[in-house]
Amino acid sequence: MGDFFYHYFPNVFDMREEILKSTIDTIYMTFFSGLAGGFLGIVLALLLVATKPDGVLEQAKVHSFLDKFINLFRSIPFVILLSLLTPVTRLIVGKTIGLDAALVPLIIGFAPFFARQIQNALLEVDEGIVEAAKAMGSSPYEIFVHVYLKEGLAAIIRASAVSIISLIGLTTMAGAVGAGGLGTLAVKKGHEGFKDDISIVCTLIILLLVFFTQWVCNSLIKKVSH
Amino acid sequence: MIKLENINVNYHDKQGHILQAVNNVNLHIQKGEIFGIVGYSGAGKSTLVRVINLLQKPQSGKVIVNHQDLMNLNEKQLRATRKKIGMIFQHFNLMNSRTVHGNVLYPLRDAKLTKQEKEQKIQQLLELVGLADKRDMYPSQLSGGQKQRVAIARALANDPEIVLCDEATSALDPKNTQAILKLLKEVNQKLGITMVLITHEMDVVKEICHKVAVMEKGRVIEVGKIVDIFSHPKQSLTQDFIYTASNIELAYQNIFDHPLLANKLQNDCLFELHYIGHNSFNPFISELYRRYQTEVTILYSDIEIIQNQPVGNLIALITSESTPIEKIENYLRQQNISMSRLNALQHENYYLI
Ligand SMILES: Nc1ncnc2c1ncn2[C@@H]1O[C@H](COP(=O)(O)OP(=O)(O)O)[C@@H](O)[C@H]1O
Ligand SMILES: [Mg+2]
Repeated sequence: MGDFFYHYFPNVFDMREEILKSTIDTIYMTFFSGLAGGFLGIVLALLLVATKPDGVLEQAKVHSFLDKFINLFRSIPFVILLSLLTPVTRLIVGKTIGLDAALVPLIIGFAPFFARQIQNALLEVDEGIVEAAKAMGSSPYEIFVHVYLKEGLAAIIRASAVSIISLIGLTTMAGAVGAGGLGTLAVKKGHEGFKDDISIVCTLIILLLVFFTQWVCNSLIKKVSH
Repeated sequence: MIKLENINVNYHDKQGHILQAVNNVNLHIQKGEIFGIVGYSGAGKSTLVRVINLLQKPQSGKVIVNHQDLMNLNEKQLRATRKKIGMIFQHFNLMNSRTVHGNVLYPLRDAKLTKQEKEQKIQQLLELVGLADKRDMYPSQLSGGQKQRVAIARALANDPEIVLCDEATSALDPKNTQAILKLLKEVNQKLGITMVLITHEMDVVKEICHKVAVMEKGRVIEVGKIVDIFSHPKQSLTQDFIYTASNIELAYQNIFDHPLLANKLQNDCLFELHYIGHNSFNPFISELYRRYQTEVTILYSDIEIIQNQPVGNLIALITSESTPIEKIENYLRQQNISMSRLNALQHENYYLI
């Protein structure tokens, strides 16, 4: 067993600490940009749904602006967004390189994508229920909380799973601003250092993270749907 | 209780065309009444009923509920008013993430009641609609009829003075339809709640409404007490609705399709008789024979009780050799029975209406 492992994965044991650190970095980036971008995304999605034609706070101009704004940011490839946002990053975190510097573009790249996903999830909520809530004298705020978010919860979690998985993908590009993580490790050490076993292990860990996310979300969906 | 004055609602479609969904409608609905609004799909019924709680703002007109002009209220006052107007829907529109209990609790969320009073209220409402044992179930675990019962309990939670029903029974099977109508009638009688009931089925109206308005293309074309409308419908659309609600149309089909009967029609005359009121129990057929030696062969007959009044329809072959038919018609008119002659040709016309 030990022989087998050593034969096929010669570098993994030596670099185990680096692999562990990269894994933590990836989780760190995913978690914090997911949290901040997730919050932004939900707010954007609620605004989109509220301001749509016949929405609870119908505002055609705001809706169309937000819609175009989100489309614009969704269209910029992430690697380009990373460098494009350098001045903004410097303004917010004070530096342009490193883990925290990567968070800014990650959040800005993730939020519009997530907003779109959540918007679609919220649109799945039966308009009849919204109508019933209005007829019962609910305020727009109550309709957001008690109808869109509560009734749409299963769809929101499903959309979140897709989004988090794609966010994990985005973090692997963060190496471009020196942020580390599993993507950087696989490219810099694995690929460029001719250590294929490192690349393979990085891939396996990422797959593990993806499956874990999917599993958690599926369990949650089971729990909230009736 | 509810006064709609000169209500107009227009929709703009994508091409910029204006669609008059509700066209200058005036309605006056009394307290404690069950008021039906019938019309075919697209007539503007749902739009009109949504005007009553201003879910739909009319382009012009006045909406007066309980002496209050709703168009003058601000958003907050309007929300408070809506809590006193229950609404039930064709597709129930229950919150799927909440149990039966949770759904009935929702409208009570900021009622000025203690937690215990709310629980008591919910228990009472669930008993009223016969679902006390389903308290902790989710809508997905209930049948259509049960879901509508939850919706009724929910609509009654804030002790409303008005309940609006938009096609409340249209998604239900006949048995559940009957049960829900019975429940609505009970609610109206026990609690004195004014009801506006939208439907495309005259059967439903016949069952429980006191008054009915008939809508076509955004206009109210006929309004009146149920018995009056059923006995003397003025508009052809109203007649259409009444025919489809009775079995008379089917009876005609059977009569004209059957070769034996169709043959007999060559010689004899086919008549349709209508009567209302207690006269209908007089044995006028034997009376006709005694007086005029007229033979009446009944092909179809039914009596319905509409708002405690018997209303009868009869299709009969009348053979009168010695007495002119006008005389018979006269006699029947005195008995409050209206009679009209039909032949195969007229029958075709009848279908063309
Ligand atoms: N939100 C809307 N936008 C545009 N047209 C509508 C809208 N709601 C209803 N309509 C149109 O208005 C007319 C009346 O609709 P509705 O009140 O739903 O009729 P009913 O309930 O009698 O079937 C229909 O022609 C329908 O297509
Ligand atoms: Mg309708």
